[in-house]
Amino acid sequence: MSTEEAALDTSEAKELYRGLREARLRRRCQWGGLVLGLSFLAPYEVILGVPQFLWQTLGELPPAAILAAFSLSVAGFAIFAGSRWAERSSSLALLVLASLASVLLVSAWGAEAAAWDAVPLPAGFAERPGVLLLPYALAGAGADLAFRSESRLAGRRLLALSAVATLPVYLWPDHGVLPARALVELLVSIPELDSYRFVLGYGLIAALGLLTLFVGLVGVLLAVRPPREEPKLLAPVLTFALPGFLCFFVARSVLLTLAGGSIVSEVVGVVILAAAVGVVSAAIECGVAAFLERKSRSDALPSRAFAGGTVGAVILVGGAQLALSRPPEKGVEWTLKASSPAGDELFGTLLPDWNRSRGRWDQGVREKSSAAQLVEVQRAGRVLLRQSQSVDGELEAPLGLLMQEAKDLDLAGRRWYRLVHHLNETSRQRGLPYYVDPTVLMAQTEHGIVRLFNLDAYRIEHVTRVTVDGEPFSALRVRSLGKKRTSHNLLGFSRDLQPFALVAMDEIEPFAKELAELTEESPPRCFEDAPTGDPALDECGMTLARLLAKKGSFLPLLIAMTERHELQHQADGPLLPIATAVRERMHSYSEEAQVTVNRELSAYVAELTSTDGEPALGLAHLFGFAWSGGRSELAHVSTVAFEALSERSLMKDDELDRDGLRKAYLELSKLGADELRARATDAWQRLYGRTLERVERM
Amino acid sequence: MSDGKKALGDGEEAPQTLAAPEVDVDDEQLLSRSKTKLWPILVGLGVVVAGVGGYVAYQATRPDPMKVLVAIDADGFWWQGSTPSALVSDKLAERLKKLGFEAIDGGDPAVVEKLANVTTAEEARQKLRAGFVITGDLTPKVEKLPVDDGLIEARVDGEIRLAFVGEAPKDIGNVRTWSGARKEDKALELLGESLGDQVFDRAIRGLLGHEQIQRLVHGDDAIARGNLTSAKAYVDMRDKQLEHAKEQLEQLATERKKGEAGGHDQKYHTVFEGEDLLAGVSPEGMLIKRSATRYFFNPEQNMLGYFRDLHSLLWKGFDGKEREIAQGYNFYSYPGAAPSGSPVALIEDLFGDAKTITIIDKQGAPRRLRVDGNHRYQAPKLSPNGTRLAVFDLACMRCPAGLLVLDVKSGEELYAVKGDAGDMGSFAFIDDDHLAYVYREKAPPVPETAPADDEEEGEGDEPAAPPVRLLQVVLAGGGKNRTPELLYEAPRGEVFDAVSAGQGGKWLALGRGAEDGKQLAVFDVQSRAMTAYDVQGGTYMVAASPAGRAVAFERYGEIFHYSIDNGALTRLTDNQARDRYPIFSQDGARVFYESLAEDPSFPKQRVLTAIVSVQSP
Repeated sequence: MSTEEAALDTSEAKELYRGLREARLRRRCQWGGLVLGLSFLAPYEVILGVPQFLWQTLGELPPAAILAAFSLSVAGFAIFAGSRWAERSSSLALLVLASLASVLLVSAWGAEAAAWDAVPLPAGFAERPGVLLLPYALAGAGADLAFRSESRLAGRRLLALSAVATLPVYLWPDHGVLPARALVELLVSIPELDSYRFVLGYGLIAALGLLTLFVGLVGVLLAVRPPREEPKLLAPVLTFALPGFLCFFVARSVLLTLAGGSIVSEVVGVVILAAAVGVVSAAIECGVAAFLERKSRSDALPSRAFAGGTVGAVILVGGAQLALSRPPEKGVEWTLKASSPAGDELFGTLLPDWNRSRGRWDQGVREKSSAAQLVEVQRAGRVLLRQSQSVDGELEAPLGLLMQEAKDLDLAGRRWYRLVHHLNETSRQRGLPYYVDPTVLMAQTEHGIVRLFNLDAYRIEHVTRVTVDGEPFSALRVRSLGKKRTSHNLLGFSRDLQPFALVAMDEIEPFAKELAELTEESPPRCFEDAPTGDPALDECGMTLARLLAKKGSFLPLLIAMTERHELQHQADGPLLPIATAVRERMHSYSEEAQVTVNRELSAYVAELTSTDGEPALGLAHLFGFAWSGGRSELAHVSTVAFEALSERSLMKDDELDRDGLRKAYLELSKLGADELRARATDAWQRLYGRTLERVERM
Repeated sequence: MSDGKKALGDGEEAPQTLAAPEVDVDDEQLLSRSKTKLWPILVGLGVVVAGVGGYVAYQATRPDPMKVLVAIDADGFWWQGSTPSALVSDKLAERLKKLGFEAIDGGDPAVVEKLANVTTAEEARQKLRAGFVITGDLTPKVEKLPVDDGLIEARVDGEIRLAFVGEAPKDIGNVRTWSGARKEDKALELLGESLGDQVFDRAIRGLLGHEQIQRLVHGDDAIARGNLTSAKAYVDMRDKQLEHAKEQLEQLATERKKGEAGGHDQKYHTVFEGEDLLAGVSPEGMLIKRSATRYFFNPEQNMLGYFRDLHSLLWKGFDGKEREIAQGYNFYSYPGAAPSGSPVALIEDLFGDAKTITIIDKQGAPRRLRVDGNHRYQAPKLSPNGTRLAVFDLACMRCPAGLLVLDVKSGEELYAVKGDAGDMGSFAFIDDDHLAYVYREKAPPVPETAPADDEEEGEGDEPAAPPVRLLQVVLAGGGKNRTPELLYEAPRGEVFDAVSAGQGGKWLALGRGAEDGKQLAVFDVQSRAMTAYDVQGGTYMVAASPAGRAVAFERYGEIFHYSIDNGALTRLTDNQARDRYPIFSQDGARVFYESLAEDPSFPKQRVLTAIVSVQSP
C-alpha cells in the first residue's frame, strides 16, 4: 500500500467518499426522479410531425396497460420523494432498484394485457430498455467503487458483471435476429457502400451497436486493472455513454429536419434514458458499498421496516398488475331464438344507418357547421330506438347508451368496443340471434387523432361450444346483414378480446360452391388459376374431386375446419410465441407481419387436425397459397406449414422450390386422413414446442 | 379617558422595552379610530376587487358582437332536431364565417350540450354568448299530395328577424319557398337547402346594417374592421347589383310606354317583374297565372340571380286589388274560369309525378276532379254557368291531344275523344249543354299494294286527308256515349285553329286557313252558316267578343280588332315587343292581352310578361 493509498484509507477518507457517493445518489435521484416522474408529459411518438401524448391514448388502454404506461412516472416520483425523505442511502438505493424493476415487470404485464385488448400498448411503454442499460450502470458503478481499496473487489466484480451483461444485448434474439449477427453483417456491408453519406450513417449506427460492447470491454480492462485514482471522468462517461452517444443522432435530426416536431421527442427520450441509467448506476454503487459496510456501520443497510415496506409495495403493485393483466374469459353460452324481420332490420339496416350518419357528422363537424348531420344522427337514433322496442325492450338501454356516448367525438376506441360489447351481451342474454362486430380505425389527421368507428351486423345461425384442453370456447356461425362488408372476404375471424370466434356462412357457402365447380372441371382443379398438366396440381384436383364425390358437399367440411381454425386463434391469443421457423423465414419483416404469419400458421396447421373436417381439403387450400410463391402473408404461412408437415426445406436461394413443394404435396396427399391429422399435430408441436390443444365438443 | 392615564396617541412612540408598557387603552376609541383609518382602504380595495372582478366577469361573459347564432324555428330549432333549421344554420354558418363573422357551429357537441334544455332562441344566444341571433318562425306547412306512391309538399313563408343583445328582434325580410319529395324527410331537407340562400341574403344585409356592426366597420379597431372587409364588400356589391336590376326594370316600363306607336291608350295592369299570364277576364277582374321571380344576389357565385316563387293564381280587380286563389309548384298551361268568374279550373303539376284537374269554387276552396300520373291535361275551359269543363287530354307527355269533358260537380266523364283517333283542334262551349270543337279524323291506313309503273307520276292519287269538321256534342242527359253532331265540314284546303264563342254562344269565331286568303271565319250557330272574312292578313288566337260582333286576334306580335258587321280592322298595338293572346272584357269594351319583354338583367334567358288592356274601337 502506497503512502497515497494509505492516506485514502483513513476513516476520514472513507467517510468523505461515502458522503460523495451518497450525495451523488441523492443528486441523481432528485433530478433523475423528477425527469422520470414527469416523463408522462413527453410525447411517446411523433406521427406526421404531430407528437402523440400518453393521455391521448388512455381511453384506448385497459387498466393494466394504463398502470404500465404510468409506471415509470410513478417510480420517478417515488425516487424523487425517496431522495428527500429516505435517511439511509442504502434505503434510497433499494427504492430505486425496486421501483425500476417494478416498472419493467408492470410494463411487460401491461403490454400483455393490452395485446388481448383493442389497442396495443405503444412500444415505448411496452419495451422498456432494462437489459440494455444494465452494462452501463454496472460499469459506471464498478468504476466508482474499484479505485477504493475497501470496495475494489466488489467494484471489479461489478465491472466484470457489466461485461457479462453485454451478452444478452448481443446474443438474445430480437425479432428473430441475433443482434450480434446483424451487427457483423452491418459492419461487413459498410465498406461496400458507395455513398459517403451512407457510410457515415451506417457507421454511426454500427458505432452505436458496438458501444455496449465497448463499455463491456472497458469494464473487463478496469476489472483486470482497476483505477488507482478516483475516476472522476471515466465513471460518468461509462454511465452516460449511451445517452451521450444518442446525442449525435439528435444533432443529426436537428440538421436534417431543421428542428422538426420529432426533435423534442428525441431530446426528451435521451434525457429520460440518462436519468434512468444515472439513478440505477448510483443506486448499485451505493447499494454495494452499503452491503460492504454492513459490519462496520449498523445503519449501512436499510432498516427492516423500509426494506419490508419496499418489497411489500413491489409485491402489491406486481400482484395488482398480475390480476389486472388476466386475459379475457373465453367461451359463451348463447341460446338462440329465431330471427325476425324486425330484428334483421334493426341490426342489419337501422344500426349501420345510424352509425354511418354518426360517421358523416363526425367527419363534417371537424371542418364546418354540421347541425344537419347531427339532426340526421338524432333522427336515425330515434328510429333505431323505436324499432328496438318492437324487437326486445331490453335493447333500448345498450342502444341508448351507445348513442349517448357516441356524441363524444373523441370517444375512445376501447370504449366503442365496450359499448358494442354491452349491446351484444344484451342480445346474448335475451337470446337474440344477432352479433354486431365493432371495429375502429385510427388515423392522425390535421384535426388530431381521428377514429373511424364501424359496425357490421350478423345474424347468428348456430353456436358451437367446445372445450380446448378443458377450457370452454365458442364459435358462432354468422351471416352478414345489411350492406356487404368491404375488404373482408374472410371465411371466419376472431378477436382476442371477444369471447368467441366467428364463422362467416355467407363467405363459406360461395367458396364451397366455387370449389365444387373447380373440381367438376376436366381435369379437376383445386384452386383458381391452377394450371393443368402439373402432376401435383392434377393430383390436388383429383383429391378434391374424390372428396366431393365421397362427401357430397364441401360445405360442412369447410365449416368444421374454419371453426377449428378460428378456435385455435381464440386459444392462442396474442401472446403465442413466434415459431423459430417463422422468425428465420421472416427476419427481415416487421414484428407485426411476423406475428400475423405466426398466428395464421398455428391456425392453418391446427385446422388440419379437425376431426369433423377433412385434412386433405385443408392441405389443398394451403397448397394453393404456397403455389403462388409470392410474398403475401398466406404464402409465407403455407410454405412454412408445408415445410413443417413434410420436414423439408422448400426454399432455395430465398425463392420457393416448386419441385420440393410438389414432392411435399404428393407425399402428404398419399397419407390417410388420420395420418395427416397426426402429421399436423406433430408439426404444430415442433413449431411451437408444446402439445397442440385438444378440442372437444361440449 | 376615564382614569386620566395617558393613552398612546398620534406622534407618540411606544416605550422601547421588552415588557409590555402599562398603557391604558380606550378600546372603543382605538376601534373607532381604526375604523376611521381602515374603512377607506377597505372600501378602496373592495372597489378595486369588484372592478377587476367585474371586468374579468364581463370579459368572460360578454356577448361577442361578431358571434352570430342562427336559430330558425322550423318546427323546432336545429338543436331540437329540425332538419330545415339545421340546414339553414349550416349554410349561414359557413357563409358568415367566410365573411369574417364567428358563426356558431351547429353540430359542435359542446354547443349541443349547452343547448340541451334550451327552448328559446334568446336563451340559446345567452348560453352561447353570441352578440346576434337570427330568428324566424319558418315552420313548414306540410301537405300529403294525392299521388299513388305518396308525395309530400312542404311550403314555408315567414319573416326573418335579427336581434342584438338586449334588443327586441327586428324584421329583416321575408323568405318563402317550397319543396316536394316522396318522403317528408327529403321534402324538409330540400326546403332547408332552398331556405338557406334566402335567409343568408336577409341576414347579411341585416347584420351589416346593424349599428353595432356599423360601429365596428367605421371604428378604430383595425382587426374588427379587417374582419368585416369581406362582408362589407359583399353587401356593397349585392346592393349595387340589386339596385341596378331594379332600375333597369323601371327603365324598361318607361321605354315600353314611350315605344308604343299605336295611338291607343294602353293600361298596364301588372308590371314587368315576373311572368303574368292572362287566363281570363270576368267581372272579378283579370284571372292571372303568376310565376313570380325575385332577384337575389347569389352568394356562391357573387352575381345576380333570381328565385322562382311558387305559381299563384289570382284575380286582379279592375281597381288594382289582387286576390290570390291558389298557389302551387307548377300550374300547367293556362287555367280557365266561367264567364262570371267562378268557378275556376286549373291543372296542377304535382312535382312532375301527376297532373290534376282542380276546381276552385267561389269561396276559394280547391277540389281535385282528377289526379293522374300519366295523362297531361291542358287549357281547361268552363261552360258559361261553370257546370261543365272541357280540357285537352294527352294520354302521355308526347301523345296527341284528345278531348275530355267532365261534370264539374260530380267529376263524371261526359264525353271524351281519344287523342290517337284524329287531330283535335280547338274547342269552345256554345252554352252549358253544347260544346263545339274542330276535329279531323285520322286518315285511314294506305293498303300496301304493289307499286304501279307510273308511281312517280301518281302524286295526285294520294288518298285525300279527311276533312276538317266543326262538331258539336250535346252534354245534357246521362251517359257518355254521345255522338257528335256535324256543324260544318270544311272543303278541301280549308282548316281552322282557335275557336271562340261570341255573344253567349250565338256565333263562333275561328281562325281560318284557306287558299282564298280569308283568315277569319264566323259560324252562326242558329243558321249553321260559316262565313269567311278577309282581315288583310293572318290571325292567331282569335277571341270573340262576349258583347258584340267583334273579334280580336294576334298578328305578328301585335293585337288587332275586327268588327264583323262593318269589316273595320283596327290595329290596337304597335311596338317592337310581342303582344299576344287577346281576351275581351265581358262587356266587350276592352281588349286585354299579354305583353312580353326581355329581362334586361338576364337577356336571352328570361322573358317577363305584363297584362295590358286597350279600349275596343
